[in-house]
Amino acid sequence: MNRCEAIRRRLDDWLDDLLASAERSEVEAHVRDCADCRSVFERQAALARELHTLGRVADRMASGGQASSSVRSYGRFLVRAAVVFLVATIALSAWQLARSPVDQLVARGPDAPVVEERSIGRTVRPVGATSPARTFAVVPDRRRLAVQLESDNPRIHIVWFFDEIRSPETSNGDANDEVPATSI
Amino acid sequence: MNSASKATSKAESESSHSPVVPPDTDLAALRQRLVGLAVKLVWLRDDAEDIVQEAFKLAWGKKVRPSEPRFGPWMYRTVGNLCLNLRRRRRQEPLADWMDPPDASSPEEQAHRTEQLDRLRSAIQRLPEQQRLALVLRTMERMNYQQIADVMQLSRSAVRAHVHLARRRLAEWLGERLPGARP
Repeated sequence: MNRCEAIRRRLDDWLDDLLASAERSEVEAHVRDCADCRSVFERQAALARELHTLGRVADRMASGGQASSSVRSYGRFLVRAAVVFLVATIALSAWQLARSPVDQLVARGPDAPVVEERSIGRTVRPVGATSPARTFAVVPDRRRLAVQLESDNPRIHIVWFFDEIRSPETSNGDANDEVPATSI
Repeated sequence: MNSASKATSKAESESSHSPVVPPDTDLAALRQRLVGLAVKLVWLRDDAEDIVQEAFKLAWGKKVRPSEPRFGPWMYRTVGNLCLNLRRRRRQEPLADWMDPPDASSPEEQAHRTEQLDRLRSAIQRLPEQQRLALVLRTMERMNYQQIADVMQLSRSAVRAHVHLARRRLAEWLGERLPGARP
């Protein structure tokens, strides 16, 4: 057996880091001087690195996590999230627009009053309210008035039912008129 | 100079019998390791999960219990055999989504890198079954030769021969296309 054959027999042990330090030095000294053996060792070392990399890829796949470089997968996630958000926003807006604020709060049923929506042409400020409220509905007995108050939250409709309203003749038309209110 | 008479080599330390699965390993961790092995053999995560599940069911049916020393090698051997016997029905999962984060390399370089690894994966799949399993257990699962011998129920020298032949074949097939290799 010539020298190169003897060295190449140690190749697997060298790759697996199983050589004692003296043996390792001996092998590496020969590889430095022998171009043929160097080519063989470098090729196997490159293969070992690639196998290690492939193993890491497999472990990542097995764990189900995504590589941070997975732009495609992250992009798909962003697109899906955006679509869901858009659909939800449109659905919520449509739902809110379709429902009259009065419908939300006036009970429906055989005895429920028929609500007529119309403006009475003035604003009133219920006691305790911080801003004038817009009138938008009048119940048919004309004794009670449903008034929607301004709300910062579009999902919250504050409706005050007033037991008593002033007739237009008894008021001076001031937008800041206050009326006693009963809140619900 | 007689290398064999030198100070004890690390190769001799490989003969020490450290168990394939340490006694205090919890089953969830073992399961994850087995899924990792299965992925390295079939490259389909769903199939890998099914195979490991099947292996646990078989262990239960054959009364191979986690408390027994044979449990670890038995599980690895069973998973390996189920993977090797699997008739591949679907394409393997693409590697691109699971690659390491790119450094400063361009998309073209990253694509080339992915292609190289894919070529290696295909070459491994072409190896004879025993060589493929021995190579994966050694180079990716980092088992020592004694542990692989326990799993495959072969002698240590037979395992070393399988790994050696697998490495030689891959080097011949892939040749200069390995990064860092010179013609």
